[in-house]
Amino acid sequence: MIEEELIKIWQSSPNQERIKFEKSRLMIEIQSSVDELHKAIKYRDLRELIAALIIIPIFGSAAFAFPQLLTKVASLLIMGYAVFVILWMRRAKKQKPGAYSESYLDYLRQTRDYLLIQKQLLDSVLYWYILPGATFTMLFFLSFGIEGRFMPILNMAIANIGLAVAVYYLNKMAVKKEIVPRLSKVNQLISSMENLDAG
Amino acid sequence: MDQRLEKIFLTALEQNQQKLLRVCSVYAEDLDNKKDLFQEAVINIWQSMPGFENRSSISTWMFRITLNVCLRLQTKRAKDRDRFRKLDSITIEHIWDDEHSFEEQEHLIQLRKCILKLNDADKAIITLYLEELSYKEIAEITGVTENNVAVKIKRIKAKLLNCITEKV
Repeated sequence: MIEEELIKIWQSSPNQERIKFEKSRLMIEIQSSVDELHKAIKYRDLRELIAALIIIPIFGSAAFAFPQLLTKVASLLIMGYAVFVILWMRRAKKQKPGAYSESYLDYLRQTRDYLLIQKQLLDSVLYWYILPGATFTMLFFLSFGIEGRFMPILNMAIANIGLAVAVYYLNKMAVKKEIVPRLSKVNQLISSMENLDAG
Repeated sequence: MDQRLEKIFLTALEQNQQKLLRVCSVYAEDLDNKKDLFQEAVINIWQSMPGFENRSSISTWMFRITLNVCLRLQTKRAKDRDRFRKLDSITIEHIWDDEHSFEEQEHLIQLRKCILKLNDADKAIITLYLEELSYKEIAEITGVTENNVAVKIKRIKAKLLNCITEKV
């Protein structure tokens, strides 16, 4: 079998499958699908904003209402922490490869960079998310004094530690089960595109 | 979006639909999945239309997006892979092919089976080659240099011919 035959065989497939579409209906459907995607992105951004909008007024009013200096400090730290977490995560998301009109190799390289950033973000979650969050929350509760409140504070500490451990292991699992396999697949694809011997 | 873009898009889609479907067929697990990939490609082509510059032909540009849609699914999270947007206005009909002999149809099945055995990068390159795109266009779409495209195509063709000959 010669090369021209390969091409001829390949291009003979329209005789078995034929696409049909109604132009006007197709345009309406496509546009509504694109609009839905934009709406989903808008809602996602809104969710993050709402999370910040809930935390900031609650702790802002706590800082204003309670006289203890430690409460004010802890409230301000929690507010700053909430803003930092949102900005930090948004920064990481910005690296996500977007345009479908780039070359595939460029997309793979961007995906590799994005996944490496995600991996780094999740690997270091203890330092930028869990520890500051748990510390500032504990500081806030301790700021009202320990006397006569030992049990509630102990319960709070246990819940805080439990939550921190769960978040830590969930992130570790996400790295192991999602990020690492995808990263290895992407690296494999890059090397098969770049390296002639791999082909 | 303006009427001019809509007209360009629909005309180009009509002219290239079968070619784009063939590209999708290489990455699809079954007919439904092929339709899903094709629809996703169509949506993304329309979405990217405002960014289309006449640096390459519209059909090359459509190939690039279609291939990217299909290939990107390979590196997505498993749960994101099944999230397709549906377009009811597109249907794919199966028709009885009496223009081609049984032997020719068998060859097509064998060729597809052999292409499916290739890795994703090789699948992309050989599909574009079989659609008669130039090395330059294949290089633009995949990001591989023209020289590498030429060497790869030579190797993939040898693999394919070998595989088909073994089977036939």
